Amino acid sequence: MTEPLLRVRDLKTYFVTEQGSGTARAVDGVSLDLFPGETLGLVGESGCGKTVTSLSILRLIPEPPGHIRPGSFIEFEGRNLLTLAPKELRAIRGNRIAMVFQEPMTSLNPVFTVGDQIAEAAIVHQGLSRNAARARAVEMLTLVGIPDPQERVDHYPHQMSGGMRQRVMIAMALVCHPKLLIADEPTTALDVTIQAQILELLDRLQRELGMAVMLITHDLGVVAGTADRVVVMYAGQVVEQAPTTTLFARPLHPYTEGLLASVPRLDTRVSQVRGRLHSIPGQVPAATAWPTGCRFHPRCPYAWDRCASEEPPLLDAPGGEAGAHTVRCWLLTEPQRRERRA
Amino acid sequence: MSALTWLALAGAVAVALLVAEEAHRRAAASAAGRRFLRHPTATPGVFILAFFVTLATAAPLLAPYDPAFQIDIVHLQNHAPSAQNVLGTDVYSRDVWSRLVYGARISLGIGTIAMLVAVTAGAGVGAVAGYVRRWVGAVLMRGVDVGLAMPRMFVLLMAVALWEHLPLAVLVLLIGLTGWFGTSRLVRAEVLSLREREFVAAARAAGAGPTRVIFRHVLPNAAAPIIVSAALGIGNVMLLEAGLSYLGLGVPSPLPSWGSMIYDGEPFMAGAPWTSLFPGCAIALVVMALNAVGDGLRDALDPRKETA
Amino acid sequence: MADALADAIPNTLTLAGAALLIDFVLGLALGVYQAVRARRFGDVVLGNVGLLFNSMPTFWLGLILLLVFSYWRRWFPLGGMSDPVLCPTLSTLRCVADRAWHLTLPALTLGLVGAAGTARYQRAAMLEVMAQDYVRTARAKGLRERRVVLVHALRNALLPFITLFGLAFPFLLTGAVLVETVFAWSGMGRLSVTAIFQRDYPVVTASALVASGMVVLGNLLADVLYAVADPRIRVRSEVT
Repeated sequence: MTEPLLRVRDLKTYFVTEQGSGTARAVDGVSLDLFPGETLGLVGESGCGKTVTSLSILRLIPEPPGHIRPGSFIEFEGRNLLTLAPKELRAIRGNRIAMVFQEPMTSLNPVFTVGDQIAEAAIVHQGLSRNAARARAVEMLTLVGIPDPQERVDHYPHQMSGGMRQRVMIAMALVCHPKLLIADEPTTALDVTIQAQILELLDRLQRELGMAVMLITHDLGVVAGTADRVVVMYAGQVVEQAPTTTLFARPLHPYTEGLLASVPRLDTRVSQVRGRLHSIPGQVPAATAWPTGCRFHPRCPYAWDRCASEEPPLLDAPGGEAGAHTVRCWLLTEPQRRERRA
Repeated sequence: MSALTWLALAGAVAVALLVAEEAHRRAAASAAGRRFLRHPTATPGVFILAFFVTLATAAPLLAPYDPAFQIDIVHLQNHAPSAQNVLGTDVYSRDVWSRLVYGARISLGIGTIAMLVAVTAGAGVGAVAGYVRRWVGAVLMRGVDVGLAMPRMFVLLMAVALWEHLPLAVLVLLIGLTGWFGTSRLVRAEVLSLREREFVAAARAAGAGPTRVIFRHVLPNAAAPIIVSAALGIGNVMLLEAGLSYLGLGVPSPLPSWGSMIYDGEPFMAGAPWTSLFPGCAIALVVMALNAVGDGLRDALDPRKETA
Repeated sequence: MADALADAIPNTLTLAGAALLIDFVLGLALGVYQAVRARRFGDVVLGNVGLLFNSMPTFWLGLILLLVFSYWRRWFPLGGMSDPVLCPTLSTLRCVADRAWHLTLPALTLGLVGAAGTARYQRAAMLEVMAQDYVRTARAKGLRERRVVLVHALRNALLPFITLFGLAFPFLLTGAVLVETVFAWSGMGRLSVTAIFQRDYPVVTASALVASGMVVLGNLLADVLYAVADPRIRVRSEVT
């Protein structure tokens, strides 16, 4: 069993809100592992803490309202990221761990050329000269499939379409050949056809460069095609974690079940669903007031009194090795209750 | 200063504190009010404004001397601050404190009136320009651009030059009329966005004509930029009036506007700095308070524009 | 009459120019500093001091500076544009230095008051820019904070700063009238004021027109600068 590239243990990131509505516990005890070369999908609805988790890894959380609680542990290539000096942390950002953000429109600086922005990382981290860095930028543009890279390298972001901008973001992130790429909803702001292209690009690059990818998304379809393992988050916690095929074939957490059932499938017969699309009843609770006990219990079809009072830990699913498939649900201790709901 | 005057002064301070206290309390009760309070200078600003307004209103109680009264032209010329004249006397042996108190009436009064003129003109023009769809709006805004281009002081100088013996009332009017351009821009922008809202359509469906719609329905909702402009506008007007009076072109001596007091005291700055210093302090304090309150109001009434 | 005005214009321009320099350099630096240290001690102190300077009458500040630095301390001359005996005209380098020495206090007066306003404006602009996504991207690339602020953020915050350039002209010219009077600086403002008392109306009108013209030119210049500085305007978008 190889060593994980990234180990997150009990990460807690809280935000102080104004007007005393309390502390928002956006990430409340998240643990996960990421192995070299694999694609990990981090899935959940908006408000579940997946973006905050990714920002916490690179310590990009704005400090006044937010802070990472002591007791959190993030280790990358054997080094504790949370205790690194600023200089060393900077050496990792954009270099060993890179991040691609959701909105290519606003995530690129409008007053600098695309080439300058890509080259910057190479100049800062690898000490390349301006000319060498520019050449590298052209290489990267070619790598991500942008036509006429020699010309495009001097273009400004506003001269490009959304899909191309996202490719530029990816090029910018990969310039230093990072070991880990965190992609936060890389396709959400794009058209469906472009989405497929970007995902394919990420897949190809991952294989070519041998890097690990943490793919954050709310869209299960994205995860199904590209991820090796999936982590499902809800209300600031990990609620299920499994290899992709296992998760889709045998989801064990009621939330995961609900997510999968909400995705309309072409082969579902209308009579099967009685003419209506399934959706999970209720709403995602506010981060300032997570429900007691299991956080999903107000919306869970199987919930019983234990769920309202005791918060379940991550339990191992039966069959298979320890840690391969974990679920945060009391149903694992009382599987017979699952039959109740047809 | 007599004991009675000191008592009155203490009373004025107490009144101002009460007003500030009450304002603070009421503000804390609403979300908009809390945004106002996020500016630490906002409540002190209210206090200062309340204090000076009280001074102006209760001037006869607070001023031991008549502002034009020359106490002792022989011995008390340009006399330093003393127990009898807390802020000293000026070159005509008039009590500076009394003049300051009465001057509050003049300076604040001119500020308020000119601001009202400016805000009314600005809101009116801005509302019409924003509401009327055709070329009228564009033409009006070109006019506003021209107005914004003219440096206010030079225009006022021109007016004073061209008009023999310009009456003070007209000068105040002119100060107002040279200052509405910025407000009209803000109001127009607000009206443009409000124009598309449902309540406007509802009013028109009920048969209201454009004038009625503008004044009864749209403008009340565009109050935010108008109020902020007003608060900041008084400050600008006061500075302008002070400048004009300092040049000898504004409020005529012996009327004690704070600006004319500085004008009177300038030749004696070296020997008797208090005659010009205190009126200037008063202006600075009041304008500061107006700016602080204006900032607070801007955040309170329009949370989109986060300035802090 | 035309001669007097023609002589006065460059003097006002010199004063306004020097004041503009002080205004913008100081205002920009303070605004950026305050934005980076937002809500902390430095920001609060500077913010209040700035509020004070922004609220005081410019001529009053001038009088105080004159009192303290020319009268009590004798570091600067008591007014005027140059030494009337030794340097009636700008003939030698020494006379240029003399002119600059006379220029200091009046330019400071106008400049300080202007800087207070500029700093407030720039602070707001910087704060807005620093909250943008691309600043986060720059940090994620592992750049030093100084580079993130001074290169990525500031470059964008300079754009609204340029519009200030256009707004500064009316303020400077209005203030010039008063400051020129306080310091006996022979510019357009002082000329207009004395002209009023001498009932020389054409001079006043002409000055007003010239001043307005300067403002228009200033705005035009600002527009051009803005177009040059913002690549979104300079390079037309061709989305393929």
